[in-house]
Amino acid sequence: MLKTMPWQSPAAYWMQEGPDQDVILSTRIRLARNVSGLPYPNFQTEENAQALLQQIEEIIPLLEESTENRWQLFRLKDLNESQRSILVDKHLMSPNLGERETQAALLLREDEAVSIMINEEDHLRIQVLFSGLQLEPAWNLANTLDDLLESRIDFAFSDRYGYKTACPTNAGTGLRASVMVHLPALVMSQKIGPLLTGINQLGMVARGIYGEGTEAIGHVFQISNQISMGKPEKEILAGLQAIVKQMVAEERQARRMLAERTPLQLRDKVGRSLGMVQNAYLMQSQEAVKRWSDLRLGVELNLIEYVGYDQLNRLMVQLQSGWLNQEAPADETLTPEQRDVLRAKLLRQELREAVISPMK
Amino acid sequence: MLCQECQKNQATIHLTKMVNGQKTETHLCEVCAAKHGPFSLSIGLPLPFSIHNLLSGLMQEEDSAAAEVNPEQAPLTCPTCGMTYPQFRRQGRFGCPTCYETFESKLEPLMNRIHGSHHHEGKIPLRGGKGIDQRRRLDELKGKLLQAVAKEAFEEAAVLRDEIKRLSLEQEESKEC
Repeated sequence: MLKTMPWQSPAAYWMQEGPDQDVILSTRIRLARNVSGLPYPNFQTEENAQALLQQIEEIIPLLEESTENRWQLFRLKDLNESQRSILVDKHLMSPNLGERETQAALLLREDEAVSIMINEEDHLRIQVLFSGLQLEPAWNLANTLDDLLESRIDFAFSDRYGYKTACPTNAGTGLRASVMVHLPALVMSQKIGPLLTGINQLGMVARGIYGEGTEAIGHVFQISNQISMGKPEKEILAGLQAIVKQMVAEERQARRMLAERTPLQLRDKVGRSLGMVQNAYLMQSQEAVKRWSDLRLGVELNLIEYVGYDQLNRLMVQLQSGWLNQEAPADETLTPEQRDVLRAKLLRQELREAVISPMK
Repeated sequence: MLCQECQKNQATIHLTKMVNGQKTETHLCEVCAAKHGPFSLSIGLPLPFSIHNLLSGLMQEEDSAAAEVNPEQAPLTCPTCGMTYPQFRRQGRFGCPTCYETFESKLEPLMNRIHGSHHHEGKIPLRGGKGIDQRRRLDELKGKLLQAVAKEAFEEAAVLRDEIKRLSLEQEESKEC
């Protein structure tokens, strides 16, 4: 049993300080694995699904012993709507996990660096989430956990096609590595379009989070490998690492250019958004995301003091309906306007100490 | 324009998605968009297409010619989960791991289109993959042996031959246990 439940705090392991955090929010490694001889979750019987959950429960002591951390299995049917949303917003599970309510579960390590989805599209999806750019350490942990699980479970594997996943797009290594990046300066200087197209041509996928390209409101993108077969894991990771490093360099350069050419406009943009969040009494989610991105840019360029990256990362959870809905009376959800009131209140409280740094 | 999800309110939030050059647009009202949250990875959005539809399209194109040649033949059916090939083609997802063997004859072009390859490289499970590592090593050595013979490097070839012999013996022994 974990000491605190994951939905009781907006903080997660990936939100702490990390390498290249001025551009990179988090790194995720996901390995898709399936049990040999059993139909995939979409086609399996209730009995098989429950047997797998039972088997996973029996592995917990082994995991606890070898990782020196507590683990707990959460069955989706025991979680309410708001708790599920918070887990999704903390990136610990996918929204799809809720589709197979009676069969699905989330196996969570206490520090929230590891979450294993059970009976999602695949029987097991091992996920490691680290802060900043940490592809190799995250892969090493995922790889170790994969070996541990394989010591007790027979994974479906073929010499030719590798790990046999439910969807052919994940077959081979079963690996999906993703890096979440904040690229406000590339969007503002209109360089994002060609960059995202270029990424696609290199076998990677770039996805805007809530909106695409120049319209991506929070300027947050997720870059992942598209191809999972034909290359060893290390090679896939090296490819992604190289592309992400390049993006980091380009974003930093675009920020320097903006700071040199339009210093007042930049300061004005950040200052106005800070003024808004410190004084607004109604804040819609879309505007909140926009302000959030400006504030992060302010922190990234040292234009704002007394706000940390960890705090901004937590806000990604706190500003969302799942977290805000916790304030609702049991079995009720808040209206959008009630949420706007709570969202504004939360921002006023969280950012009350923030100030614009003095002009040099 | 009305919200795609509730079909009641005016759509005020417009989401454009580019995946592999495929552009899709979603139009939502504020209430429905709020359900997805400002930072949601939008995986759950009911988009006009899914990866599985795309895959299904890929496969249909491939097979339409083949089907005409032999319309009478019973479709390939997986002995473990009962999934038929037309079903797999529609859904773009396998029913169980055995489907990989059942539909083997159709998979090569599909995997090539998705991954640009139809052969796994990389991690092999420790327990379940026993023997595969040896087999890979053997294949590699045999390739090297051919090369050595071709360039008449007979000393090198002799070393390789002995190594292949040793590995083959090991493999035989492990099968017997």
